[in-house]
Amino acid sequence: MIKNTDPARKYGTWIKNFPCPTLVTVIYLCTIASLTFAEELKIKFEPVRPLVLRDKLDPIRVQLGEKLFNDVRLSKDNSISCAHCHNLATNGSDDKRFSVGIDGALGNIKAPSVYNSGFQFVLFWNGRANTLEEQAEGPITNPIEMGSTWPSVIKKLEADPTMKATFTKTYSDGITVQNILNAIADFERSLVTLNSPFDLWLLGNEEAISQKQLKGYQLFKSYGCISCHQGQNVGGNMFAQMGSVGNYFEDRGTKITSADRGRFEVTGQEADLYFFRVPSLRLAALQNYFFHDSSVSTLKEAIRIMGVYQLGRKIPDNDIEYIESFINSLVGKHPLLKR
Amino acid sequence: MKVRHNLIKPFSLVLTILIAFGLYTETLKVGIEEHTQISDIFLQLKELEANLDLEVMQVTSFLMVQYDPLIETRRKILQLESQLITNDDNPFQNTNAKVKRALKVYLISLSQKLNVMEHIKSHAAVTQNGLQYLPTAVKNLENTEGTARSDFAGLISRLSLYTLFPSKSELDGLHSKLNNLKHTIDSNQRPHEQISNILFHAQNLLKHLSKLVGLKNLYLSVPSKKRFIELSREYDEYFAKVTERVANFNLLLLIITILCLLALYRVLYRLGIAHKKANNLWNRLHDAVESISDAFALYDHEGHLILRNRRWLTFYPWLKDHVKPGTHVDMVDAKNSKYLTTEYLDPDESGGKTQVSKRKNYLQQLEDGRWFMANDDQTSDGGTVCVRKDVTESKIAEIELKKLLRAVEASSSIVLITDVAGNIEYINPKFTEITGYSKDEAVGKNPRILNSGLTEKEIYCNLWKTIISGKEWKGEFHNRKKDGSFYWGRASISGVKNEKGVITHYIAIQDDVTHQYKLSEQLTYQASHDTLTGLVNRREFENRVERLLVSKNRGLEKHALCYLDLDQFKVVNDTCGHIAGDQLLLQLSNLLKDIVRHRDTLARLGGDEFGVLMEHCSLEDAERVTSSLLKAVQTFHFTWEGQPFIVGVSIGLVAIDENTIDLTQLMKDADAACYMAKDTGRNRVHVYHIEDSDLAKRHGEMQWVSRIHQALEEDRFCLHAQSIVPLNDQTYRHYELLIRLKDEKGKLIFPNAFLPAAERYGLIIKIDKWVIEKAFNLMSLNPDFLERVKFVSINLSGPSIVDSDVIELIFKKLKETGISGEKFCFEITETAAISNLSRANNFVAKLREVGCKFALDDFGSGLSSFGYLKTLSVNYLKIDGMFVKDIVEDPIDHAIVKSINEIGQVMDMKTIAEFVENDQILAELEKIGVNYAQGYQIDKPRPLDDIINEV
Repeated sequence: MIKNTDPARKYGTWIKNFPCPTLVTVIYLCTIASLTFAEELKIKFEPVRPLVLRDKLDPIRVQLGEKLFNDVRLSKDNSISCAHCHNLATNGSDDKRFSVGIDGALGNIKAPSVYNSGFQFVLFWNGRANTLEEQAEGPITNPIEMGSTWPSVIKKLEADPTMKATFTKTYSDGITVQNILNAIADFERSLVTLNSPFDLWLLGNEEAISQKQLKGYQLFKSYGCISCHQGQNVGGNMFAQMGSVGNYFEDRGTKITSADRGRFEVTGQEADLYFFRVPSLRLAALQNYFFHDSSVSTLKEAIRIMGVYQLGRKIPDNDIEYIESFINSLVGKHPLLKR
Repeated sequence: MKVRHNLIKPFSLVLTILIAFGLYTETLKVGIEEHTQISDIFLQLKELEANLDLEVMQVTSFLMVQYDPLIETRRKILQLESQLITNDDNPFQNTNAKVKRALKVYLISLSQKLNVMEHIKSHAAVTQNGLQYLPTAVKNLENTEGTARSDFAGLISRLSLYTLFPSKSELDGLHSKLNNLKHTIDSNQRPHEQISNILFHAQNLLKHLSKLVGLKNLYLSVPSKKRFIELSREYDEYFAKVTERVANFNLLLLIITILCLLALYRVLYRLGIAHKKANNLWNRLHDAVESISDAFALYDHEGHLILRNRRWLTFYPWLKDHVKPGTHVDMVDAKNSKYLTTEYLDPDESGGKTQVSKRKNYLQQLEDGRWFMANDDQTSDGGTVCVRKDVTESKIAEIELKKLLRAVEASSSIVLITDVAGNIEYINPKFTEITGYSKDEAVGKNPRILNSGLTEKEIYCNLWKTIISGKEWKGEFHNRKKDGSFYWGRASISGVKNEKGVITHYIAIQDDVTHQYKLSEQLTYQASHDTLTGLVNRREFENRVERLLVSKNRGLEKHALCYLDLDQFKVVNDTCGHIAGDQLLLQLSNLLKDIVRHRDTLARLGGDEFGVLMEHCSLEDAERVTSSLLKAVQTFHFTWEGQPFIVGVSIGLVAIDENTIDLTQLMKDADAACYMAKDTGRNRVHVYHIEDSDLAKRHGEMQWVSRIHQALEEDRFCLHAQSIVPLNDQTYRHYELLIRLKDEKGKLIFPNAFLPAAERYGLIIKIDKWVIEKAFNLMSLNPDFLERVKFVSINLSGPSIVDSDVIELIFKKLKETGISGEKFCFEITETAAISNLSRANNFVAKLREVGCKFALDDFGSGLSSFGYLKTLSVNYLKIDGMFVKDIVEDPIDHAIVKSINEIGQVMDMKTIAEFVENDQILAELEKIGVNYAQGYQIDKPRPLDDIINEV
């Protein structure tokens, strides 16, 4: 009797018989519908979407995560914490070009900002983690970063009655690897920079950004930056080849490292060589270094390089300045972020 | 075999439960919830994949301005995938390998799609920029050659067309066109910068566009739909199989359930029948138990009550609250032991715990006196059946009977029961003890075995006559013991009647009175004989004379009587002591015994006086006898401690003939004759003449008559008193009043001197009256003494008892003085009392009514039988001092005193011993148990005035 009413089967049949022209029609209709919908919400229909707090978070877990984020016990020699390389006060990433781990070990890639990391569709430059939890585990056990082992971390935390009590309050099974990671991840999900001038503009406040910034946005779109840097996070939702229209690494002149190979390191596919997750531009204005190799230390230079290698265009300095001012308008607010 | 059979049922039950449980868990394996989850997942997968397809198509058509929706879809797919990969919360966990493999294959295809999608995104972005920039770049190409511009415009339109309708030929066309253009431009020496830029972008665009087209085709070629269908089919197959199996299991379960229900019904049906049967049985059992007359209770092996009848409650009323089924057995016995005393009939039972008997028989006595015969029986399953029978009546009867039997057995009298024919059926131990015949020897025999032949036949005749008529017979037998010796038995025989009043048995109760008989004989002998010489005493002598005087042949026969008075006796007595005197008397009497004729009576009349009664003897013959007597005494030489004494005798002879008046006169005459013999020179025989009496009167007793008269007139009598004290309690005393006479010179004369004369000449009543009056007066004048003394004893002579003046005087004085009768006790001699028993009894009874007490004086001396004692109700028995004074030395005297005391005690009289002269006597009396003592050891007689005046 179940056989006859099996919805999966029915659905499957429906999909199978779905004709291609109908699909195109549907796509158009959907687009129009979404435009109408956006207007109704008074959100401007732009490729950039305003940031919102997407996840419902447990405040206890967030607080616990914050503690853990700042807890040096997570490192092997109790010398560094997550916050050590992700300075929340400045920009959520490292001030240094490459981060220094325990015993002075030097990393080979730029530390990305933890702000708005909840909106990253994958984590790490090469996208080897799908969730923040997966990501958080990386630096803790990475020998050149925090260099810890989970048993030692749990042992250290177990010795702290307050910590233990807090864990027990929100997790039935107390201190476990998964719970530590989840708490940190939840804290990171709370690191959303809301109410940036541009978001306010998107929500209808015409005065929120300057004419210059507006012009910058229009240039941003017309040059094609928007093709990759779109969505809520203005980037962070796709992979792109570093130098898709130019040979960046050849022009850089330095030796290609494993970090440079990008997503290839994860998939091993030739097609993924030099592919990186497109970085978010939300806090780009606050960064000291740019690109995975921190090869550039100014935003203007970064815009110029992006124009050459990603768009095949020489963007005039004027326009770069406009675009820079637009990027500035993307910086939102967070209590931990001091400006 | 039985054990195995018993195991089958539980084993099959367990097996059934296991099978049912197994089937049930099998049905649980595919729950509807799981199926719903899987269906839901299928829906989600389909929806997500459709979304993905839709969004990828948007991207390839450059319609997606931002990729956030796409990454949202991706995120959902990944989330779902991770759920399906993990083991927890994965509904596919329980499906079969085929389904899992199909799922895995499908998920791989999804991953492929996602992977391709990422590349599409990247290339689409670049392509989009190219498509957007190129037309602008060509538009800006105004200043260059028109051909080039139109060529580029054509290229752009072809590129746009290719974007919408990609094909291999068009791609090739575009490549060749681009190459042509490049070639044309390269041929120009001066290549335009803008043209090179356009060409560069066009090449890039074409490169990415072709990649994009390839990726799009790759994406579409991923066989995810096919695989989904495959998965769906596999799952359907799996589910159909599971459903079918579950259906089979359900069917099996249904069958098992029906079987179980059928079995249950059968069991219940059987149970119902069994219950009914059990109920019937129980009711029958209950009725049976109720119907029995005994109390009944059944306890299980743990001691809990299962069954009991109503009677059980009446037997153990305190159990009222504890007789519900399940109450513990302890409630009956152990806990209420205070109500019970248990008597084990079987001696083994009381032994102890080691005894493993299944049956217990015992008697229980309740506090209220009921007796139960208890019977506790072990049942085969270890329970206890308790049966109680009320045996109170028979038990009480038994106890009564036992008591009676024990009493009879312990009786100090012989008890003998015979049948009507007189054959012995029962004897008690006393019988054996006295007669020597054992039970075996006696039972079945006639009591004649005891017959000594000495009992008169008349007695037996009388006996049978009496008892056959149903009356009680009382009498004495002279019986013979087994060893041939005799005993006196005082018996009481009566018939025992059955309920119809017919005599079935005779019961004889017999006491051995031999001892009493012997005592009585002894006393009789004592009363008639002189203890020292063994001769007849005065009393007996007078009796014999009296008998002679009243005999029929009086006047026809001639007899004689003589008085002998020893002349020198006083000399022996005074110089050598009374032992010597006694010895003299003894020897002399033996001498005289030989001389008198065989038939004559020789008597010691007192002191040194002897008398001889010669029956059928003429005066002449008598004179001859007296002469030989005289001669014998004269020739008798008495030696004491080497000193010889010559003894003389004066003999007065009187003939007993028709002139003899009476005893008194006769004795008076003999006395007078004896006096005359003495008076005429001693050592001679004087035959009485009529003148002799006058002569004697002046000198003998007769002189006392006038002296007593004179003394009464001159009030020269006075009272002395001697105290009588209890032996066990010396706190009080009473006094015997004794009379004394002061002669003309003031010398005290003892009553033994004048009282015989007073008695003989009838003055004794006057003296008694004087004593009574004097005593009353003294008592009333001295209230202190009256208070102090318990009572005083006054001796009364025989004539006074029967004299009405005396009793009148006593009552008069009682009235006058107002003194209570209790303060007086009257001592009378047994002889005096017996001589006129009825009047004496009257006298005693009248005075006892007013509280006066009586004492029997000189008891033992003049007694012929104890029997008279019964008729005289006196308070005190005064044992004759004659027995008392020698009690220490003489065993016979000791025995007499003891017997008298015993008799006195038995008759509820207090005994008083006279002549207590030393400590040894006192000690002996105490040992015997005599109540009071009187004598020199205690107190000498003193003037009553002295006693009254002492404080």
